[in-house]
Amino acid sequence: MLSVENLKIEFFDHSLPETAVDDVTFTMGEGEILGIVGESGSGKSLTALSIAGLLNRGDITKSGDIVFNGLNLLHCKRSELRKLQGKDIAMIFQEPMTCLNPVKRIGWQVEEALRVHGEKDKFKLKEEAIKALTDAGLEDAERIYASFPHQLSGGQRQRVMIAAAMISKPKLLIADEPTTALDVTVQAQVIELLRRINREKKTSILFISHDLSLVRQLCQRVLVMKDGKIVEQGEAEDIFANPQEEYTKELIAAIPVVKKPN
Amino acid sequence: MTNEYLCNVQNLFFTYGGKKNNPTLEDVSLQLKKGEILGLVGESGSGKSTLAKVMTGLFKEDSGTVECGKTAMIFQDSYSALNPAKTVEWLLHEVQRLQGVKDKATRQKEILKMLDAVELEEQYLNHYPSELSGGQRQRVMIAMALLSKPEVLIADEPVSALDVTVQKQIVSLLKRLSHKRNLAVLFISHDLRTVYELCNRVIVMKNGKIVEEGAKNALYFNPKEEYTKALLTSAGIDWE
Amino acid sequence: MKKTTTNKNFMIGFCMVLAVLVFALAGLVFAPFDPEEMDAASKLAAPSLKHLFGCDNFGRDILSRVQQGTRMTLLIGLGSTAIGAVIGTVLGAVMGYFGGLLDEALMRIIDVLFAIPSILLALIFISLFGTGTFNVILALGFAIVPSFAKMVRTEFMKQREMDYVKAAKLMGAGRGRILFVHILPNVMPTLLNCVLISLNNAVLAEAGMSFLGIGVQPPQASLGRMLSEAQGYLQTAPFYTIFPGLVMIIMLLGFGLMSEGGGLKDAFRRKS
Repeated sequence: MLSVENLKIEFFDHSLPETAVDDVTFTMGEGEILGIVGESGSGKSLTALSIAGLLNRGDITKSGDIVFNGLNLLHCKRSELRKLQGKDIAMIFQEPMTCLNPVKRIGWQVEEALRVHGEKDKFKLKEEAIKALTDAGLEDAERIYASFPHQLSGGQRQRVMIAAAMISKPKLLIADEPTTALDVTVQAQVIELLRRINREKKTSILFISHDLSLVRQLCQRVLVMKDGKIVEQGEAEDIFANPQEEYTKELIAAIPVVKKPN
Repeated sequence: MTNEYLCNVQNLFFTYGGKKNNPTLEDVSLQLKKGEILGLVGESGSGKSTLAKVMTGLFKEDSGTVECGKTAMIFQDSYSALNPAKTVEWLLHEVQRLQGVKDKATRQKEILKMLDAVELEEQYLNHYPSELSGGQRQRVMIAMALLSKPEVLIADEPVSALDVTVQKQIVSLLKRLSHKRNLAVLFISHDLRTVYELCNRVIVMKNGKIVEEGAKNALYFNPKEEYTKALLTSAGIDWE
Repeated sequence: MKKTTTNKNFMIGFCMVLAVLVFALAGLVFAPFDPEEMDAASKLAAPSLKHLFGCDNFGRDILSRVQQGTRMTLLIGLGSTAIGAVIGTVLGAVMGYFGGLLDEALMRIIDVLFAIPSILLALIFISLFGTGTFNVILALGFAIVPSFAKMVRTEFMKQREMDYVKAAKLMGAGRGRILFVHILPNVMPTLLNCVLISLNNAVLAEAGMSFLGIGVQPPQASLGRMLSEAQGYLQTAPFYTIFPGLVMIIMLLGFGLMSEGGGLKDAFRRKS
């Protein structure tokens, strides 16, 4: 469904060009949950942003291919890309504080993706939004529909983001560190929600995180990135049980082990 | 009492802005011994950071007693906690200047010793905080805290913003420093795994109250309270 | 790439200001004539080898007068900006850092002052204390205070919340030290840009006041004063307007370029 080939992203804002993502190649199947793990500066977020078509800046050059359902996202027309954005490809971000517009009601923001893609019927919009909010595990969807972002907790806001992303039933959901800013109990709930979405709606999820234990809980397949390159990839369980690369071993060793003393 | 404990907090109440009906900290009591690393876990809004600020004296308690030896604090956001307009060297001098160390050569000698202790190279002295990595900034902050010669180090989520591999380095550094200097550490975190790695004893807070307290293994593998169990489960810890 | 253009702007602006400064100060060493010496024979004489910029309606050498006037304008600009910046910074720092009732009260006063155009404020001051160079500097200085206080206050309110301020407090730093040793350097880049903008405004305001006759008093020259005197001869002796005007434009453009795009931030922040 998605194949990324030889993706290379370079920055030109300093005197020397800087390669942030170097020769990244991977594929993703329908209904798959793929994890990208890496530390800051590994290029995992840039990879995600370029797949979502959100990386268009004058001081960045991209080369390679990103093919989504037969369409090359890196080289297609802007209008073709926009037809996909928010419809077939949706994205959620780390900071539920800043990625909701503080002056717009939740309902309006959840509906926006549908509205942009041509839905005009107000009743239909609201119906869909309420349904999306309920599906995202928000009870009391009517009240939340009429609320402003600052009236909600962090966990609720992240669920709203998920509802807004899922309303147009995307084929691919990109989740960039969606749980990092949340409390552990809420983290676990959001992971569960993502798992359910994947199971029930068959949405593929590209899950980006620095937290290996979360990736292990959620993903079937994992890419480990470092300094813009993929250092290792494979089935999640294999990688955790039997890491091949030094860096992967280091990452796994960095997770503190909590084990019952005998 | 004071002989036994470096830090003794009894029946502490605190409310922001003096609104009495909804206290941020409610009847909090805790003790810290020499060389002990006490973990304080809780979710956002549990009052754990507020407790740290009351213990260091940044906020004044409404009622209850706070008896602590000399405290120093390290913060979560090393970017905001180091003055961006000053070099590392200036910052390390400033701590000692404020301690009343007048002689520059003495201060410089202390600084070099301290850099060695926090495993930071001398070349970073003339760097600005923005030119350092997160881990290096955290080391500078620990050095600043230790230069004020504290008995109790209060660390408010010091590793949460760092990469996992760097987290591990900072945690083991804190462990070593606490050992070597017989330093009591209050380690505040929402990450139960890191707390397990570092601490001897753990306190769980929720909504301004202490929910459960106990030795590390007792609390992690024989939790009494539902909330503690829920936290452990969420963190993917197999406590049963 | 962006960085280099702002730096270039800064350098061009800096050179322009420097050129004006050298030109003005050179007058102290070798002005061709006494700027107040009148020569009835060369009234409104066109530029020549003897009088490079020509002569004014009293036969005074325009070149020498422009040099003297530039010095005067710079003095007024620098003096009033210094007064405004120092008082405004101290006020703003205290208001922003401590907040509370004092801040509330001072803020209301500043809001009232903001409602009155600064040239009007200066006018009131002059009518109370009389004309003269020193009073012009004071009047403009006080008129600038509110804008500095407001800007610095906002910056200090932002910085107050940073953890390094808490850390300094815990180390035992006193209030004065926290305000002016720990926080102020972080406000400096913004402050310096405001100084440049305010220099611009002060120079313009001086010109305006002199134009209205409440600024520098004759026979002393200032750029504004000269423009005001030259307006009657715009058609017969355009050079009388052109030369002081040109110097003023170069000076203002120079300050403007220096402050544009945070060029100062780069110039003052050491890069590794």
